[in-house]
Formats: sequence, structure tokens, C-alpha cells
Amino acid sequence: MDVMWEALLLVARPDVLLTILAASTLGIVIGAIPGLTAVMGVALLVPITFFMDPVPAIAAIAALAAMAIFSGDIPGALLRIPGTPASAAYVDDAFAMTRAGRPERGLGLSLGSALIGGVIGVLLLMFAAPLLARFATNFSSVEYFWLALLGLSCAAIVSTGSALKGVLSLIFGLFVAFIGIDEVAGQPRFTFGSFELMGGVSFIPAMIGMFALTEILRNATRNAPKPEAPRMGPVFAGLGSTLVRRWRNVLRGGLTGSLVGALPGAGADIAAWVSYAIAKRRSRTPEKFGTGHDEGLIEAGASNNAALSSAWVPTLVFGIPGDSITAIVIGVLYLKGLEPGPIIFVKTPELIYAIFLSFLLANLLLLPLGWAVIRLARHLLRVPQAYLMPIVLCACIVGSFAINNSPFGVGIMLAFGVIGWLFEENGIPVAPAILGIVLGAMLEFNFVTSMLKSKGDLMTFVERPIAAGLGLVVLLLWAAPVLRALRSRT
Amino acid sequence: MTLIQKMLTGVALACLPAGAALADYPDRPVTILVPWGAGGGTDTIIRIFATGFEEAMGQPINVVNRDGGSGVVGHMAIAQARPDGYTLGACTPEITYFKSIGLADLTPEKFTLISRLALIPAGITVAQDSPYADLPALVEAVKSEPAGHFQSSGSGIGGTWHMATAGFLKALGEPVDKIDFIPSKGGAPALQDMVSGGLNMFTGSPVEAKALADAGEVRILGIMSDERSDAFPDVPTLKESGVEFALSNWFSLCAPAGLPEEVTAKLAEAAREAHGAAVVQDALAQRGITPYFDGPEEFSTFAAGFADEAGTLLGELGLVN
Repeated sequence: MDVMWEALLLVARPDVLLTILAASTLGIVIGAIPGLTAVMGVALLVPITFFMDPVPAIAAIAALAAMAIFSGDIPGALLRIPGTPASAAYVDDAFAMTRAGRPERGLGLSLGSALIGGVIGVLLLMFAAPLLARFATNFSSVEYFWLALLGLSCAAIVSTGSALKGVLSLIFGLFVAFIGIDEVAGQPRFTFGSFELMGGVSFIPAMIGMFALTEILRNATRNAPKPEAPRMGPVFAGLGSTLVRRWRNVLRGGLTGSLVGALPGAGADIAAWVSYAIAKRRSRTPEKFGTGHDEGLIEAGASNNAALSSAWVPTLVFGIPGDSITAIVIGVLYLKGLEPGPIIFVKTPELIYAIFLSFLLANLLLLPLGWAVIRLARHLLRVPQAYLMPIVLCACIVGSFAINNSPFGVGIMLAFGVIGWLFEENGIPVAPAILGIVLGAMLEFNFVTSMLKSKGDLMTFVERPIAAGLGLVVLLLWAAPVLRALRSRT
Repeated sequence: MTLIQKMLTGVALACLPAGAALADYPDRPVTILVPWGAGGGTDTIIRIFATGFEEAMGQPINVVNRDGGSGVVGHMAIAQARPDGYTLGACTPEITYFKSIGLADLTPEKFTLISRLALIPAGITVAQDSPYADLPALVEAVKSEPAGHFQSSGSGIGGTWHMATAGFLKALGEPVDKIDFIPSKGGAPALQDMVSGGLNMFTGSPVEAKALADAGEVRILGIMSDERSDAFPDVPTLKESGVEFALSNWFSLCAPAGLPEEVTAKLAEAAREAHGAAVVQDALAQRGITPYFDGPEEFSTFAAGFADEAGTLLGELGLVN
């Protein structure tokens, strides 16, 4: 309990609390504005966290993401434009409520379920991560190899849209991971003689490009109609009783979201779709889904916020990101000298618990801030894109410069922005590429060092029981689509 | 002043020859580039030193991490910076052998060496459940077991901890590659791999192993310094077991080559003052890091000698291109 107390002292400081509040406010505004997503907000926040201590830095990211995922429901409900992809699953239901003259009902349910789902996810994170970390001290390079492969496989197969395009995106990410000095043989690869490229493609500028610049380009090429939002009634009226009546949905959404989120590569958006589908299958009135029904909205709304928290489990324990946001977080953890892995749970447990506590705090802040943003939503939706996008572009440039104090970062950002835009325009998901960049290097390094240790004997990958188990899971994952295809043919 | 006049004045100021500004050097903030990641040994040392250095220089000091590419990116950025005394760096032993292992065209001559600031000795650490109770038992086993029985890590191939492994073997009169050196991305992942049973030895520094030793996961058997460290009073040196070998990773203050002499002198003076400050000394010693200061001449001589020794060891390891 000493650790908990120390962690509490780390969080209960005016600067940390103010940071959480400021990041939450920023997050809730970013999510509410169509075109600004949670991942983009996080990518742009990173250069600012650069100047902070570890705890406020990580807390700021956690708070911003939790808020933005919720408030992405607002433009979804009012205009049928999901603010973040995670809100897309139930946008029809929420919008139908708005058209029925009750916009506050859909938004209230989103808020309530997001709050409860978020807390479920955080609790799971607090209890599961340290236990898993104890277990993870048994993991050597062999197990890490399988874990990285598992993450990559999930990223391609579970991604939204076609698996083929997911694999394409993944392969691009793996190629990017090749660039730089190969740390085992000391050979530069694809560096074209540039010493800047010897360090590899700097991850955070690449991320800012792929998530923020891409969005700017897309907005520039699209003519959005001027949105007009309806008036709001009281948000909390009848909310409690509905949530109590639908407790099954809230709980199931929270748990499903936590599990999906903890899978490497599957984040809040996939969790929301999965939960929506489960709610529909389990419902007594599946025909009402999509017409302003509350079950799917509640379940998926709880699920996406739960997934957001539990995505931090594999991130902190293994250094394997659970989604695009935590992929960025890994970069920040390294910048702050907090190498993710079971060792930080031994070395600085108080920092880890401080991060958990600020996570919990951020989720609780959803209540007041969420209420305020619902009241203000009409005005936020009227901010013209012509003012907004140049500001975001400036933030992109400054941010990608600040990471290394080098214009090279800006170049990386611009290049990846254009690549990301080409991806999106052709329906290729960006998330697998990001995971490819993060996990590709890890996969290769652990493969090569394992081979060095075993002197070239491939049996080393299945000799240890945990490794063999992980290997089996990966093979099953690969075999699943093939088996399904075979079965459907007969 | 009109805007045009202001701009012209600005241009004129920018064009003033550097010499004119030297008299009042430093008159703006100074940047120190750290070629390694945040939170690592070099970063910690430079950040501690910067607190004292800020006062001695009378200007704010920005510590900037430029890591990646096995240290090449950051060291290259230091060497290519303008030698005006406003961009300094934290050079590490790699500058003496980047070129000989064919990684980059970087040698000590590409830098103005100001002084070494601190040393971190290598050590020998094993997992808690390792069969070797103490240093003599381990030394005996290294001699008697066949080549490849021991697998060690702590840094990349050719890194300082790799040289610690090779130098230790050489002092025992064994082939320098009798212990397999498996590259790792630093101390923490190497220790993690050892705790999980993937490796049976860690030749990084006891400073890196301390948290896990306190948690009862690993045991520090020996330290590769001339005398016992105050931070690890119970850990014997290799010399106590009759192995005549010591190796420390060193961390220095450096600048691009061609720094004006007055600036070098001013920097060396300020660095000496900052380094001697009680806050800096205490903060370093607390972390098990040995404060060390030798100044420009002595450091340059040392670097040349270190380059020779490292060249020989790396040659025997077959890493010289």
C-alpha cells in the first residue's frame, strides 16, 4: 500500500491535476469537432508533453484520449458525422434519437456508458497489469518474438475493412521498420547515406503526419456542408434509470471492450463494433437496432471507453501497443526513460500506479466536462474548418520539429502525411502500418537474438512452454481464415 | 524604428563576425546534445551536470536527446554543429571506435574534447537462481566450461559492455569470444532476458542492475573498477579475485572540432566549477556513478589511448572493418 500512497502523492499535485484538467478540456473539444480525432489529438499533444515530468505527461495523454473518444459521439449524434472512428458503430441510433427531438437522450446515454465503461477498463488495467507483469518476467526474447508476431497478425486480421488491405498497410509499416542501422550487425539499411536516417524513421513525426496531416488533407479535399445542430434538453433526466435497466449492456460492453482493447492491434473502434454486434445478437428486439434504440448505443459506448484503458495493459507490460494511441504512448514512454516491460513494475511501481490513478481521475472528470460539452456542442460544431485546419497544421509542424530540434522531423511528418492520405483515400487502414513500424523492429530483433543464442537452432522457438503456447495461438490465428474459407466451400 | 530598419539591424547583427561576440561568450542559452535516450546513464549524468553548469555559465542549458542509430545520429549532430560554443555534446566511448567498426566517419579528432565528467564501471551480474554463488565460482566456471556455455549481454555488439566481456576473458587468458555476447537494446531488456532464463550473465553496470538486485531478482557478483564503489560496498572488484581487469564506461563534455581556444578554456573552467559543486557530486554519487574530471589535455591523451586499446580488443573480436 506504500506504493499506492506514493503514487497518490505523485498525482495529487497542483501541476499534475491542472495538466489533467487542461488535457481533458482539450480532448473533449477535439473529439467534439468533426475531423479532429482522438489519435490526432494525442499525436499533437506529444511534443508538448516533451517538456513535462513523466506522470503529468502520461496522464495528459490518457485524459485527452478518454475525453475525445466520448465526445466523438457528439457530432455523431447531432450531425451523423462520427467525431472519431470509435463512435461510428452506433451513430445511426444516436442520430435517430436526435431526429426524434431527443438529442440529449442519446448523448446522455453515451456519457453515462462511457463513464462506467471507462472505469471498468481502468480497474481491469490496475489489477491485471501488475499480475501480468509478474508473469511476464518469465518472457525471454523467444516469447517476445511470438508476442510481436501475434500483435502483427492481429493488426492485419482484426483491422477494420478488408484483411488484404490490412496486410498491405502492415507490410508498408514493416518496410519502414527496416530503415536505419540494424542493431545486431551494425549495417545501415535504406539510409541513402543520411546520418539522420541511420536512427530510423523518427516515430512521433511519422505519427503526427499519418494522423493529423492526413486529416487536414482530407478536409481540404472535401466540401463539408455547414452543420446546424438542434437544441438540447436536460442531459441527466431519466439517464440513471435507463442505465440501471440496461445494466447488462453496460457491464457486458465494459468487459468486452476491456478484452478487445487488451489485444494488441485492436483498439476502441473495433471494440465498439464487436460490442454493438453482441448487443444486437443478445437483444430481444434486434430489429430496433439502428432506429434510435438504446441497447447497442449503451453497450458499444461503454465498450470503446473500456478498450481505451485496457489497451494500456500490453503496452506497459510488454511494450506492445494495444491500439494506435498506445503506439504513440510507447514512443513517449521511451522519451521519458520509462522503458515499457515488466521491469518498470519492479523499478518504479509508484509511477505506474500514478498513471493508473490519473487514468481513473480522467474518467471521473468525464461527468462534469461531458455535461458541459453537451451543453456547448452547438457552438463547437459551428467553428469553421477554414480557421481550424491552419492551426492544426501549425501544431503539426512545430510538434514534429520539437521532438529532435531538427527540420528532418518536419520532412518525415510531411512525407507520412501524404502517404497516410493516399492510404485513406484508397480504403487502406493506417493502424496496421503504425503497429508494423513499432512491432517490426521488435520482431526482427528478438528473432535474430534468439537465433544467436540457440546458434541457429529453430527448435528454440518452441522449446519453452510459454513460447510453444504463444506459437500455437499465432498458428491458429493464421489458420482461421483458411479453415473458414474451406468450410464455406464444402 | 520602422519595421524595415528593425529588419536591417537584425540582418546586420546576424552577419557580425563570430569573433566580436566571443568577448561576452556565452550571451545566450547553450544546448547539450545527448546521443542516447532519456533516462539512460548519459542522459542522467548530463542532466545532473547541467544543473551546476547552468549556474557556472550564467545561461540556461538545454539538454536535448538525439538518440538512435547506435549513437551515430547524436554524435554526428554534435560533430556537424557550428563550433561556436552554443552547441555542446555528451561524447561517450563510441567516438573512439565508430570508424574502426565501420559505422560512421567519426573519430576523437572530429570533436573538441573538454573533459570526462563521470565513470560507470562494468560489472558481473547473474540471476538469483544462478548456480554461481560468488565471483571466484563464476571465474572458475568461465575457465572450465566450454566456449558458448556463457551468454552475456548489456549493450549492442561492440558496445562498452561487450568490451567488458571481452576484456574480462582476455585477463583470464581465455579467447575473447569464449562468452557469447548477445546484443541488446540497453541494460533493462538484457536484465529482463537474464531474469527470464534467456541469458546466464550480464556484464553491464551494477548501477543498471541495482533495482532488480534490491528486488531479489538478480545478484551482483563483481564490479570492474579499481576499488570498491561506495554505492555497492559489498560488491568485490575483479582484482580481489585476482583478475587484473577494470573497465568503465565514460561520459564526457565535448563540442564540435575547431572550437576557438578562448571558448574551450572558458568551457573547461565553467565545467570544472560546475562539476565540483556539492549538488552535482552528491547527486552522481547517490546513483553509484563515479564523478571524474580531467580537463581538455588529459582527456585527449586518454581518448587516444582508449582508442588504441579498444581497437585491439575489437580487432580480436573480429569486428574491425
